[in-house]
Amino acid sequence: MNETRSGLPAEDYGDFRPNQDALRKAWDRPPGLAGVFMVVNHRTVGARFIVTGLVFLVLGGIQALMMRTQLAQPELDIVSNELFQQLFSMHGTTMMFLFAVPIFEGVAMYLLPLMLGARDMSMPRLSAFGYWLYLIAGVTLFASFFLGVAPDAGWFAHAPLSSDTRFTPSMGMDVWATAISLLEISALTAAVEIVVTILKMRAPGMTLSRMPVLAWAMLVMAMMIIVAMPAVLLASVTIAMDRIAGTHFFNSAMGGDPVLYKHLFWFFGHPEVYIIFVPALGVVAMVLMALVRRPIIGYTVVNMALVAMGVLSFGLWAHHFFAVGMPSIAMSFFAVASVMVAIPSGIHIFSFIATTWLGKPVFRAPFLFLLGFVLVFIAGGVTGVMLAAVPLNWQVHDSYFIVAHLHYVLIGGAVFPLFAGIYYWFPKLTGRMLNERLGRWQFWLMLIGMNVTFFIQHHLGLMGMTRRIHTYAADLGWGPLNMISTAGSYILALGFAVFFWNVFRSLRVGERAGDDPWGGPTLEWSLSSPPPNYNFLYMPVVRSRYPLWEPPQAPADRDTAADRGIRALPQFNDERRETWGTTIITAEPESRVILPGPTIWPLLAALSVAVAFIGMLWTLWSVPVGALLFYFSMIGWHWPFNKELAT
Amino acid sequence: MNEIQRNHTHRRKGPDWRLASRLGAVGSLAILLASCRSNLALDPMGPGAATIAGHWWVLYWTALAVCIIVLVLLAVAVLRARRRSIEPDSGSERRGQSLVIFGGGIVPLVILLGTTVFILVGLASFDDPVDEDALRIRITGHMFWWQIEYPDHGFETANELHIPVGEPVRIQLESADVIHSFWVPQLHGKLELVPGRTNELVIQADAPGSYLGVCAEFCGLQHANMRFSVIAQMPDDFDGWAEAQAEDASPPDTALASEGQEVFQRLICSNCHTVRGVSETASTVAPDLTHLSSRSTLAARTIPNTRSNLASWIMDPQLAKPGSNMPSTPMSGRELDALLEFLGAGQ
Repeated sequence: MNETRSGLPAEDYGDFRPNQDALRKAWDRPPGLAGVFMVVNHRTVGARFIVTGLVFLVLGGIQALMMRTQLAQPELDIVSNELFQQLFSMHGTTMMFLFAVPIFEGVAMYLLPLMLGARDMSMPRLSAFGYWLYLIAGVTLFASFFLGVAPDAGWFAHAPLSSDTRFTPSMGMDVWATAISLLEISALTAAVEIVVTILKMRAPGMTLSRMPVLAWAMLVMAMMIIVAMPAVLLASVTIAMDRIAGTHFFNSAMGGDPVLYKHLFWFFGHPEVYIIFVPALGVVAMVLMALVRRPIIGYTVVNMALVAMGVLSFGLWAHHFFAVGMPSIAMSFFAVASVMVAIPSGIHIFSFIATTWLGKPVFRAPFLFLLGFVLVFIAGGVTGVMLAAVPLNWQVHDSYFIVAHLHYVLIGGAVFPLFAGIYYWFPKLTGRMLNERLGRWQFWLMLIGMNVTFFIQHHLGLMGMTRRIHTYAADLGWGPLNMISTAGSYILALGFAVFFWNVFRSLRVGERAGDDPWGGPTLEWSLSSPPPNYNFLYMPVVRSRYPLWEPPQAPADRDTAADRGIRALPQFNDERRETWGTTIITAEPESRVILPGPTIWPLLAALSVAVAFIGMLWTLWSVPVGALLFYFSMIGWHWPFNKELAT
Repeated sequence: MNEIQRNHTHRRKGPDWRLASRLGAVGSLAILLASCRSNLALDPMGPGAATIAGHWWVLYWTALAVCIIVLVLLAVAVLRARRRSIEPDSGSERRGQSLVIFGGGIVPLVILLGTTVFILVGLASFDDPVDEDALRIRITGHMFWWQIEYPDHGFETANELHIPVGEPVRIQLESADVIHSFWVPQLHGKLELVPGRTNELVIQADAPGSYLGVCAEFCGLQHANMRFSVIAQMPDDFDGWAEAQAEDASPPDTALASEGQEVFQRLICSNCHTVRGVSETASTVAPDLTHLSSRSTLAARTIPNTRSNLASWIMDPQLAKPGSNMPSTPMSGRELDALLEFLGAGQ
């Protein structure tokens, strides 16, 4: 244990010595089955998000393989058209809502307190609540899939196809609308507590300008979720109301408007891409610094670029439907915004190049995945700018060109960074390294598979192949390229399989990692692997941007506002869960935040919400019943069971 | 800065990814150039698609140049750092920052401002006023076929859009159910058919021929088989075609055909389909079948229009197009023969 390595040296605590046994007891996870349902610790909940996200990645990947198999040759009949449309609707929904967003929320929950020098997230019960909602929604969606009534109107569920039971009579779209609503609530709860944690619970001395890039990225992501998710919540709830309660939001015959749905959905849908991409950029920055062993070049511009990206991405939603028939002036506005959003990405790419240039890269798996990120993302990025050209967009919109573009952006911009992050932090989570040789195999299989699958899809799009078709006529000449694409998808899948084999193997026989296998700059590497439940024995004080890379300070330098703030506050009570509450900008300690322990109420509250939403599939009475149950679970949630905390 | 972990320094010489990426770039360029001919959108046959193809090539070469520059810079950065044995050079931080701001901010800004101007000028070129006298055609999207009306000529057809070569044609797009999207890659970009709205697209074909048209917006179970043909004809041929189409169907001239007419009315066909001059009521629920024999495909360009295809399509539409709205209609062999005769199916 070397808790003091970066933190407040032990002597600064004066007579106070943390009581390790008390801490251990206070932060313990309850044993047995009760513990499974009651745990709220950020590392457990975060890991659950990550593992669940990976499970959904596998399921979504299998769906993609089924589609690619069906499309390998013209007029195949391996998958029926009915199943095919469920497959692509579920593939998109799974990858966006069940994999990409939750997994980065999980990364935030797991890593932020460790990086920021806190003992938990700001609202641990809310983390657990969000996780349960996510799990329930995901299980519901896949239950519907295995029962053959999965959503079947595409992941963005354009009205009126999705909103009118004449066009989509199966229960699938009802499931979609309700499950998506649950997922949005889950994302919103995560976002709120990520914002609070980052702004209010950083280690003393970790001013905003000393905050790790990942924390900046997560802050931007969470802010974006807070702004974007209500729009899609509105969209999914109005879809549900049109279907279940017979409202006519999107029925043009009754005065509704299908285009309204496009605006609502894409006001969320475009930022959604950046909600996934921005945290991935944060991961890239953290892994890059450790792997090239130098601070990132342009820390300030890089963070400003993240913020700019977050703001700009809200100004270009309409480029997802330039073909709907819009006035030129509106299209011009969205075209300009769509072009300009490339600049912050440019800053990040060049910061990557400059940092590598001046650093000394270690050619290990995480670094390979970073290179894969640049190689793949740059191709998706430039086609993104091409798509901003409105007339060209009219040609390639809804064609396989778009399919290619979005997979380059999302696999390059999120999946490669995610794997870089997993290879980098896996030792922190498990205490063991992932196997390097398997990592290389995975990287090459993924890079080759990805390019073989998707590069030629650009051409298929230009050849007239549209999205979401379950088959195509032989005389169209799309067969050969589709065959290549399908072959590539199997190579890509093999890459994922190697990864899961690597995880499975390394968990048992992986090389022991030690506390800091990469020589990372941030606080999590000062802890044991995996860290104790209370994270930090001595709460660290941060005096620089890269606390683990700075030489130890002379005692004279240890009289900052942060140090004085610490001395002015009462000491920690190690018998309960406590962490620092600090000021937003300068992170001066202002309070000791008492955090809750294990509790069943988040699960019960999540179940109540699920009753309200999922029950709607059968009867609208579920809404008042669920609301009532939720009311009672909120009473339980807030009941002062702990006398000591109540006073 | 800290030392490299000793237990991880046994790294082997890594795979030569640079070579691979270069090969990949060259290979992909070759594929692209080789497949240009079959890329319908880049083989334009009308002014709309031609302008867009021009945009494509400008943007394509710009994008390729940007990719190459960035990847070369990255390769140099990695190579340079790899060869160097010294510790990281912290004095050059300032140069690094200039690279980020200049290379990542200012240069892209200049390129993108140029791109923006290019895009906006290109977009404005599509705003030119349309000739009010141009031929108007109204297309209504249905799950999963295209209703095509020629108001100037006073007739209706389905799934085959005939246009005269060399003239702008105003296509008015509407939808009867969900959102569809009208796309003829060789003539123009796509435009959606939105319920409750009328969109207008001006297309023009520069040479006679049959061009592929598809529905580009997912619209349900048979979205994949909601295609159509655009048949561009010399103006004289077009006029002849339009004149013939405007005629009512000729009355049955054989006993079998008369029997077929009776079958058409008696079974449920006429509830949805119209044969002008024969049907008592006009219905637009399903394709107008007047002059069906003049069309080259059936079921929205799904199967060739042959006698046997038409027979099997009538007997069980769900076989060729599961999920289409046409029900299968049980009938005797005799009735089927009569119906085929009535619809003018060839041998």
